[in-house]
Amino acid sequence: MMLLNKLQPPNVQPAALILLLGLMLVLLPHFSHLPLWLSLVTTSLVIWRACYELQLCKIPGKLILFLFTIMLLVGIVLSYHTLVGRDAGSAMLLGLLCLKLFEIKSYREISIIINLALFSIVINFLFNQSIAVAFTMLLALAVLFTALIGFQHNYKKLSQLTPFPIDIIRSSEKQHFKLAFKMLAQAIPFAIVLFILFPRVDGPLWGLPEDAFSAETGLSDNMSPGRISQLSNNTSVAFRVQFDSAVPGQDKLYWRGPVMWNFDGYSWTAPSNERIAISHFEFTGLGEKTNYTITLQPHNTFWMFALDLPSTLPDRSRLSANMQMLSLSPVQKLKRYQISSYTRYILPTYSQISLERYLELPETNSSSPDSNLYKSRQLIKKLKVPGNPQQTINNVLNYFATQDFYYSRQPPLLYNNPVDEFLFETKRGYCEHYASSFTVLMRLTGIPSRIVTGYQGGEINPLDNYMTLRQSDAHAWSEVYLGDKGWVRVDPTAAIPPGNIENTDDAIRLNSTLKKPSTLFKSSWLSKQMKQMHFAWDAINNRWNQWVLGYNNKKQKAFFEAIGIPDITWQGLSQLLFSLLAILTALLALIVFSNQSKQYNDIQHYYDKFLKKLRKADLTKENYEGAADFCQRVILKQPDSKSAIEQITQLYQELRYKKYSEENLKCFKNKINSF
Amino acid sequence: MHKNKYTSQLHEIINSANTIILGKEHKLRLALTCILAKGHLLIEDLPGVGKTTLAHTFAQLLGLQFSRIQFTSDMLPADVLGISIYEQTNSQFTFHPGPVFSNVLLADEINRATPKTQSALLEAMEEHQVTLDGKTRDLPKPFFVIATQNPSEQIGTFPLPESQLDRFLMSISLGYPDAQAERQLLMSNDKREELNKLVSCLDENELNQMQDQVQHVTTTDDLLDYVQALISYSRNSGLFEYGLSPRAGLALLHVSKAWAMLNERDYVIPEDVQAVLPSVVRHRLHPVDPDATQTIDVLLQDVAIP
Repeated sequence: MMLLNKLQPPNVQPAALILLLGLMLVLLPHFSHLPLWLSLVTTSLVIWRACYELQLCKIPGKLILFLFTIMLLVGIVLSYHTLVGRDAGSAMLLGLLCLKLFEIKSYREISIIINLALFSIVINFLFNQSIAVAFTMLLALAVLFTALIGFQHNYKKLSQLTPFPIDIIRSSEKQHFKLAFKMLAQAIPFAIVLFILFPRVDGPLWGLPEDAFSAETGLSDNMSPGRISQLSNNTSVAFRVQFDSAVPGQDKLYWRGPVMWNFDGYSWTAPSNERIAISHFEFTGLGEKTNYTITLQPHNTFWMFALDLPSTLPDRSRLSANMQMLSLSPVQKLKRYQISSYTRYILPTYSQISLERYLELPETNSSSPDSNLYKSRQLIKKLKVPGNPQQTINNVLNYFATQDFYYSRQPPLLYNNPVDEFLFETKRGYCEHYASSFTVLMRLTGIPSRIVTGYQGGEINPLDNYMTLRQSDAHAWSEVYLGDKGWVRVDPTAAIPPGNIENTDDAIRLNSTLKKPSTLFKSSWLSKQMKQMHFAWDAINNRWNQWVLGYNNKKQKAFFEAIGIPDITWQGLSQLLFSLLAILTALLALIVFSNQSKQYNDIQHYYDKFLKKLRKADLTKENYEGAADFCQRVILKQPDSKSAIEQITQLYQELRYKKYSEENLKCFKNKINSF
Repeated sequence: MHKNKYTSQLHEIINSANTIILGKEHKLRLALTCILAKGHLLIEDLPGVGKTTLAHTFAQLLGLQFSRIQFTSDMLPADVLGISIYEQTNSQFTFHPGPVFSNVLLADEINRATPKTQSALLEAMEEHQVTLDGKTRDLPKPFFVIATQNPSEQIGTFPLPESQLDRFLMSISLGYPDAQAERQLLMSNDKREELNKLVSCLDENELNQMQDQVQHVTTTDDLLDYVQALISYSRNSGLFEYGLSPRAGLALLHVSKAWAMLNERDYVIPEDVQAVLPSVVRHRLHPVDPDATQTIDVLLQDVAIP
């Protein structure tokens, strides 16, 4: 820092630069959610301050700072329309923190900045709890501590708080970092004990603001053309599945999500009264039951996913009338549940009344050629086989297979009459186009039908043998009601011939029903390695989710049951916690203490041995007597062993008062043992 | 450290000094230590035990310029520092430097001068410079004062206050020679003549280098623990009116380093501290019980080497 203020010690510049580096590390993950202008502003403020430290430029005065602050607040209000809540609040804090950099006058401001930076580390976890962020924050913590030690060292020297310059406070930045790192390392056992033992509370501990939970929504509760295809490049994880029984074939892996039946001519929705749960459901499962555990990423809505169709329900969940599994509260944090499903099933039949809504179509003038669905109506007249719905379905699917339909990630835009436009003009679509038009055609023939969205397939991680479903696996298919058979799943997308799939990845996905994942990647060695690394990284993430983020009340209980302490109460838990912390503290103190005096103890231990031997000859060293003086005295009495005594004394002196070396210590030990 | 070079020279100095001042090798070593540590030496003793000879011997052996002031009660600062005199030949004031402008200054019977004159000298010792007629003049380097002091019970003395005694790094007393040395002394020729024949073993530069080298003597944590234990014992034991000051502590450590160097070691051991401690603290510590003569030995014996 420049010598503007006489209280400013001259050599805090390195510490200040380290502080700025730490601040940058704290800011880095925030950039993913801050508006671009604020990311740029905070970065440039930090760089400005760094330039000032390097004496390249000046810092703004009080008036300009005030203007900056006003502009910052206005900017935040314009971006977020508020100043409170998680997003706006953290943006304001970070902006003001960077402005505070220009108010440094004394140690007080520095400690405020460091404290706020530490707080911002915590804020990062409200947005993102991934491994990368956790480790970046650990590094940031170490860097901030280094800066803190550097400042304290220099300011302490200034205020003469330490009358004797004892070497506890090291002087170079490298040593400061070492000390900070050491302190963090010492804190790790405590952190682990606290993590494992601290009593867990179900649900959020504090009243966090509504938007405090980050979530990737992925699927939504309405489906219009282009809605799902926009997810096709989104590789973020939707959920992970650990199968306890055999993994069903790829063609059975339909992960049931939101079900939609209300069509307004453009988009499909599930009106909210659909949330009313059915109290009782029964169906006949066919074949093997599949047991598995799902770890669901938070998405801030109620729905939960299960393999079509779940036969048991996890706690705190229910089933909607459309067989969609719903959580009792929005999924705002990682959710883990065990469930079993039948991939083949027969649903019970419904009374005719409840099916009417699955036949509704937007009211149009069916005779006008310009009306909605006019061409579709014409088409269905050709395809319909009266009295044989199964044959009608096959005809429609055959139409998709033979009429030059393409499966595309970037389908052309559709306007007012999406079903007709797709069926007769563009003929290129993603799953939602096929599901939507198929369902509409079914309804036109009088077969009750609905749209089911969810995920299809999944990628088995060969390293840890679990399945990952990503947003790009989002899918939509249809269900038709066939009288005695109940609801039957029909996936019109599967009717597209393989040659008509534009993207090779999609081709693999849609036609891989019989292939094993390992044979899918016949490509180069490099891409194989990449795939391996990708799997490894995903496996690590899975573990992190399961054991760190997903460590809740239940897991804690399970952990204690596993180590033989069933039914632990929170009192027992806290007793255990405090006693373990006490033991750790004692251990750490012991290690630190013994490390400090280890060299000395070793030397003194052997020298005491030597003295003991001499005591037998009635030669006792006085407490105040130095080794050399004692040596002279001993030699007078025992001139025979003069050289040995002199050598031992010499080594003792050099070890303690010149320089400690392992070599000399060895020599010293040998001499004494042979004395 | 140029161990061989220095040790042989230091050895030679001690040996030569030994031929002049008989039977006082330990005191000679302490005096040389004081010189190496760049400090001023106070010799408290009766007249005629060889104080002047000691000062003269070292000046000769170290190849330094020597001057002497015999303090009396009517002396003025100008007698020590020098005076500007009007020269008629060139009609200007010319400064005539006093005896203080030399390398080794023997200030004999310093406690017989008035406080005004004493402080003029002590000021010069501290600052290594003299300010007269508005002009500051540096004293030669090295500058080293050996002051002698008569036991203050004698008539016509102005005892030096504590603050001024603190300016002396060490104080020693020579004491009477033992019987053997006494006999040798009586049998020998005139020591003054022998003294003039001494050949200097060092020059100013070498002495400066040696003095700088003292700082590089190693002291480990273990040794500092011992020094700190001694200091804190002097403060808390109740044996002394005041404990050792931080300056005294620094002095003790520095002298110990010089002593270690004189003893051909580049690290300090507790024995070094023990050897120099009495002469470093004797003039700084006042025993609560003035009749107890061995208080400093008690200090050494009560503090265990950690």
